[in-house]
Amino acid sequence: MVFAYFPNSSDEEDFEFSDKNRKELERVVKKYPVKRSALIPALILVQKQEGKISSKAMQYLASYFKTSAMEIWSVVSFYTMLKTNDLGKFHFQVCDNLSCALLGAGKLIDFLEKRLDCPTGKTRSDKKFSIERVECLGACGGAPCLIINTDYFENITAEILEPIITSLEKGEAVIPRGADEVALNIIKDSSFISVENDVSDNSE
Amino acid sequence: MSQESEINFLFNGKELKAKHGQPIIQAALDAEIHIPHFCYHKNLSVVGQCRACLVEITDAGNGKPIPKLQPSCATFASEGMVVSSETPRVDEAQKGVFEFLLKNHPLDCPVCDQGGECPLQDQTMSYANAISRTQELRRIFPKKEISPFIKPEMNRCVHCTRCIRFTSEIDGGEEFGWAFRGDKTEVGIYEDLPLSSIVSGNVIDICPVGALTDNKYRFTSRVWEMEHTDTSCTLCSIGCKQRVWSQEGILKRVTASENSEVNDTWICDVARYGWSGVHADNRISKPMVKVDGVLKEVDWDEAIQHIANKYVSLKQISGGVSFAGLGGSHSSNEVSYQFQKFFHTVLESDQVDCRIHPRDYSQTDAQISVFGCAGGFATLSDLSNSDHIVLYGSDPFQEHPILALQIRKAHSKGAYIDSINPRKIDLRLNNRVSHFIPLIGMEIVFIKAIQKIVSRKLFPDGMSNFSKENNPKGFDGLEDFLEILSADSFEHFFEETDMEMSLLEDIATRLISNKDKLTFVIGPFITDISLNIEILNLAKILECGFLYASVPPNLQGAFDMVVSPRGKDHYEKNFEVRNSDQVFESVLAGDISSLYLMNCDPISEHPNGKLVREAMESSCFVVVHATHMNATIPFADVVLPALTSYEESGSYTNIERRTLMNKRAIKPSNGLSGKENWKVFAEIAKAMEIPMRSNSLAQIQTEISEFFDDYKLALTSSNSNGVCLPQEKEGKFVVSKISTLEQEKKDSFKLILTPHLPLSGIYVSSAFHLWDMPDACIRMSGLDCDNFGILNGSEIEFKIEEKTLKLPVEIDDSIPAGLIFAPEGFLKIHNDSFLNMGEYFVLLEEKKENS
Amino acid sequence: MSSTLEKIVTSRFDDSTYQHIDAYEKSAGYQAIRSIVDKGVTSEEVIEIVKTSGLRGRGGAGFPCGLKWSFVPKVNGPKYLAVNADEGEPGTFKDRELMLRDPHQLIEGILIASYAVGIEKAYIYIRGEYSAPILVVEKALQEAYEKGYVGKNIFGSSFNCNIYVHSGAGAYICGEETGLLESLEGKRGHPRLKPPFPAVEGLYGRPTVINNVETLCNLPHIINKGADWFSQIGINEKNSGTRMYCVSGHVNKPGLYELPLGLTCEEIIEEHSGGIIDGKKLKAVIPGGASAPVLTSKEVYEDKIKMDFDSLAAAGSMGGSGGVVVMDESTCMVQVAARLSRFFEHESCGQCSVCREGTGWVSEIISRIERGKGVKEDISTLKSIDPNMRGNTICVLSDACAMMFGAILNKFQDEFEDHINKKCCPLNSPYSV
Ligand SMILES: Cc1cc2nc3c(=O)[nH]c(=O)nc-3n(C[C@H](O)[C@H](O)[C@H](O)COP(=O)(O)O)c2cc1C
Ligand code: SF4
Ligand code: FES
Repeated sequence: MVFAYFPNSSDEEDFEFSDKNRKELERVVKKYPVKRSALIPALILVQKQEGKISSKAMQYLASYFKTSAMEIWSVVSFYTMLKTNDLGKFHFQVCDNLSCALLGAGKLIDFLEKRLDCPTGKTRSDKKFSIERVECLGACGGAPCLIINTDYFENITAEILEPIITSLEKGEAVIPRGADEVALNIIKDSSFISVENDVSDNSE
Repeated sequence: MSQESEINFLFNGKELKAKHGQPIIQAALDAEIHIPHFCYHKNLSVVGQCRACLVEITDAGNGKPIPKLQPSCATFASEGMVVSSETPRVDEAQKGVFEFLLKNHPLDCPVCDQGGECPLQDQTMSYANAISRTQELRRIFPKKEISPFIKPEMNRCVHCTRCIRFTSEIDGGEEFGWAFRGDKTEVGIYEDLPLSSIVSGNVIDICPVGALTDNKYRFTSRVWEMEHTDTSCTLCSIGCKQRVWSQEGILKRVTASENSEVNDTWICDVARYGWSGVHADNRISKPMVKVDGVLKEVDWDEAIQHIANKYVSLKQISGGVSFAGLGGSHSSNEVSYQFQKFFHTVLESDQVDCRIHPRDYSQTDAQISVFGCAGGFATLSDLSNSDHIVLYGSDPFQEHPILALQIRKAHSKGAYIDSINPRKIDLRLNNRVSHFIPLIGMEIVFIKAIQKIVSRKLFPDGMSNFSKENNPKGFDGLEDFLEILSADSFEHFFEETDMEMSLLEDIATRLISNKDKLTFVIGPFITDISLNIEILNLAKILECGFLYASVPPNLQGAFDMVVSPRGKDHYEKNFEVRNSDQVFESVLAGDISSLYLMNCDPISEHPNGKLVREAMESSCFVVVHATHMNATIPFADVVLPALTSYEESGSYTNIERRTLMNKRAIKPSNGLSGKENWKVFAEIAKAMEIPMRSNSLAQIQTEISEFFDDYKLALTSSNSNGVCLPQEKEGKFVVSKISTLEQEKKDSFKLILTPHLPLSGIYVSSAFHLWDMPDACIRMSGLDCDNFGILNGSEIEFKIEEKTLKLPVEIDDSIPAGLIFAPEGFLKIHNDSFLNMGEYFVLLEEKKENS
Repeated sequence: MSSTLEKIVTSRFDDSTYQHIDAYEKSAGYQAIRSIVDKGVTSEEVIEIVKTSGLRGRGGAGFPCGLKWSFVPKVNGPKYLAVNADEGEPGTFKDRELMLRDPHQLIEGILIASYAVGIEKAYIYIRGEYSAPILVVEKALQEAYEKGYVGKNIFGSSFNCNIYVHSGAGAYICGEETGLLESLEGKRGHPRLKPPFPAVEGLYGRPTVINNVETLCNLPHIINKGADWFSQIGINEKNSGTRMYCVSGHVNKPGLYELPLGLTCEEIIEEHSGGIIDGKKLKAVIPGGASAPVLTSKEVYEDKIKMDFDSLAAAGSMGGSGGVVVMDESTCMVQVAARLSRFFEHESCGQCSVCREGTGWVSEIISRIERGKGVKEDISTLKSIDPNMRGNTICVLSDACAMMFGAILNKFQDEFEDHINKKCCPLNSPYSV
């Protein structure tokens, strides 16, 4: 019996996977002998579809994985890449750990805040940009570095970033910079350009 | 090394013994050596997270030391180990751990309810450095409410995660969890989904700091100002050990106490807050006598004299046969004993019965006919050590929450659970559980079908190789039984049960393969005696134990005390046995002209409410001896105030036939002219000038011990866990009539009223703290709601026997279409709607677009 | 000189075509696993080869790889391999490039390890930020499946091995081996109590081997060229082979350098990484990722500390993950300690009271000192917190934090005192850490 002392205040829309993502989840679940292992991949899928993980989506996954919403939330809140708030269409994750900081990550963040008109940790009101400081991104050889949506940009300075941002504002394609370049032929369909489309599909 | 052998090891230079696989800390605690700890709890899994219990192991039993300090909660003792919790290294580490634990702990001990019983406070005194070196601000979590019963102050939390483990491992609801990580880690619940489990209050007891405290007790007293008494709970038939706290004769709170054979360290919230009924406004404080149709308060002497006069004259006119007594299953054994003795010897009537609800007599009578006696066929430990449990008409989280925990405990050790119930009950299990939902009326066919498959598997060659020699005691009648089984064609069963053959094969295979560690739990949904007999026949073939999850708390004890017209060697049986239905019929017919109702409320407890009311309205002389104003009181000629088990000592016998001695926690509360319940009968007898010896509780107990050999053991034992009184199974196979029950009425719904511990019955209805439990509601399937346009939460109304049941609807997809569930005996004083327990056919009207 | 040094795991790094199975196969790819399967080399023999090679784990602890495998009990039922590609240790970026540039080398390594231990399912746990490596490895796996090199009856033998990619979602602690397993089971990445060790009770309660990407990438070469060949590279048989040094910070040529074990720190900085930028002086080096205690310029240039596992351990530091972070004279070491303790505070899983509260407390104190708000007692407080955070927790993140700040505090105590006395950062460092 589900007791309810307090009404559910959430006025979000109910969550449902798109057909494509449901199929993807079904494929992923098969990888593991225990269904629960697919929770983090499922959360990543939710985030890919919705741009964030809503309370309704957590409740959806709770029943999908036969557990409580608290269990899902405790996992979601543990992992920094899983978001419950709206991000910008272009989400900047700037590494400010030691190697990047030694080579000017701090200045880079100052530049970005001004250039994007958006404080760190926030999403700009038009939901175009958001900036986050993150821990080491594992690309210290190319410090300072950052990720825009899913793509790495290494050895970054304000001068290098300026045209990239301009292109993004214009809606032009931008290619990753640094070690990821060797994989351009493989990642071309999946990099943030397509993620961006996902998000805008959703918002319309 | 054998599994059973004890392990010897040295702890702080002392020889200690440990069981195989026992953590060092438990061995030490058992030997009353304290090791500081927070996360460790004997009934929860070991996580080793608080790090307070670190010890130094200078010899791991292999001659070599373990270089790092080890958590003693997560390290098993092993033979020859040398362990110390007193070395400078340990001391240093402990000081460190306590400093870390206190780093963010607020300095609000003076206003904290946990003060005085706080493991953090106490252990800090013994193990920590006195000074705080923190310059930093302490962590502050956002405020959140989590339930009406539990007050969270999460800034005090030390992240021991006992509450999380309780809700995930014991309770199963997984409502507590931790969010975020590192020093932002926050223990709590999910957004607006509050703690709702009926056992969630246990987190108050296990929280080692003041992070989760009792919201109802909050700021009402301090530990050192209270007295406490360990007793067993008498609100349901499990009898969990609890600690009752009072101050100056007023109950303040109840916490769990340990009975490793019954409730481990858990109690349910009904126990935790049910005490509030003692101080309820509707307690009957003075005796009352009806004068000119109005109940008037009188003193005890007058009331007793009034009853005595009436009884003397009735006895003269029509003799003992005109007296009937009902009740006792909510009273102690001693009161029950006096009650029946008064009837048998003073009134010279055999018509005394503790079984008001038909299911109570169906349960006891079925056991008597199949096994020759009732109760004592399994223990809760048997249950929690079972490999297979079959729940038959039992929904333990609703009816006996701690029973549910014991079932979950068995499950956590690998047991398989089969539930046979009209709805898909919720045990908070995701695997190793099957639900069988036979159509209403078809349960008997279902059980017969299982019997048939089981007996075919057990006796594959039929009766031929089944000889009297290997026919164990109590197998009388097996031949007839099997013959009847084989007479019915197999297919016939399956057609009727509407179940897949393979599912029945599965359950039969499980039953047989786990035969030796199999326990049945038969619950209150089974009211029909044939259903009871057939499940017992199945238990008989399988030779397994079973527990009757009876609803009244002391049905077993009262029945043992012969508060039933079955007679016993001690008393002659003069006339035919009447059950409670027949008692009321006899009252109506004028054959019975006096009713004594001992702590019962037939108007709301008996399913045949109409009959009861008509009987009560007749000219019968009715004495109601009760704790609270109830629905039957308006029909009483004399009302006697009864004491609750918090106010009167006595023994109770639970569903295992375990007898538990209870000490009273307080004297009868203020304004209550209390008289011990057991005294009343002797006083009436004295006023009737027929003496009935009873000077003290001890004397009654001696008398009980003389009459009932096995109770002697229990009543003289000093074991505070109580003594189980198993009984020899005898009896024989009984062939019940196979009849599918009532025809379904077309287009009508079946409304099933089932017991729901926090809502059913007058006592819990008066316990005002329990009013914050989820309200009663009508539960029905989403399908039916959709069809009739009923919205979740909207109120619907049924007319039943001149009464209306009007409650909000809750969509519950565990319920099959066509059935509607509501709590039985639901009587909320501040709401004044109640319904008799039982089953009804009701009609639903289609709700058009109105919300 | 550097050009004559033999490359092992980075030998195919010059050319991005090796991402594809054809090019990989042309350069001796899949020959190692094919040969042991074809020849029916027993699993014991493979474990023996790896043991003799002296290969030690490249993920952090430097545990001998063959020995770790030999702990797995010979039981029926599933066993698992979890490939640790969570690479979160600040200063480390080698696994990313190994996966981007030569994914088949990793797959072959996984097959060899699985063959040796009798594993039929392997999960590659790649940190969630690495979206490109995830795609590259998935693509490579697809190619290998198509060729029948992964899956059922590999090379027509009875050897089956399925390999799956599993993405993390942002948690350094999931690099700790049992935290990784919890995360792989769909839970919070809380490290588990040990014992039981994962070799006995790991993923889903079954025997499990956890190996770092670089460790596994060495395997095909060891099988192809022999244990002796491998053990002769490096300084001694316990520190054999090469390491991928991830050099970052104040050097002229930051990047990945695969070098034999046993070179000195000075050689790595000066000869391979082009020396300190702007001709400045060295102040400190972190030799093996953020958890490894710093080395001072004296230790580098005068003591000439070698960068193999045992030499670094003898010097009170550790080889760790191979992340070499170079800091020049202008660096404020209090800032470095503050930044790294913030990292540990942020990444502590939060279950052990010592680590949850300790990392937070240390980070608060050091940041306060750095802001010029320190008090005299802070130093003694820090010094007494340090030992309490070592050896008392479920995993070694707490120890790592203590080792990090303990070393900086001991070696650069004057800088802390300066901050406290002057109530500000005296260095006015150009880098705001
Ligand atoms: C806090 C912590 C973080 C770790 N992170 C990583 C990591 O990101 N990648 C890695 O390979 N090993 C990491 N390790 C080491 C692993 O626990 C483990 O030793 C290693 O994966 C074993 O593989 P190997 O024997 O091949 O080195 C970490 C250890 C700790 C305590
Ligand atoms: S030491 Fe820290 S990171 Fe490791 S298990 Fe304990 S709390 Fe988690
Ligand atoms: S009691 Fe052992 S770590 Fe908490």
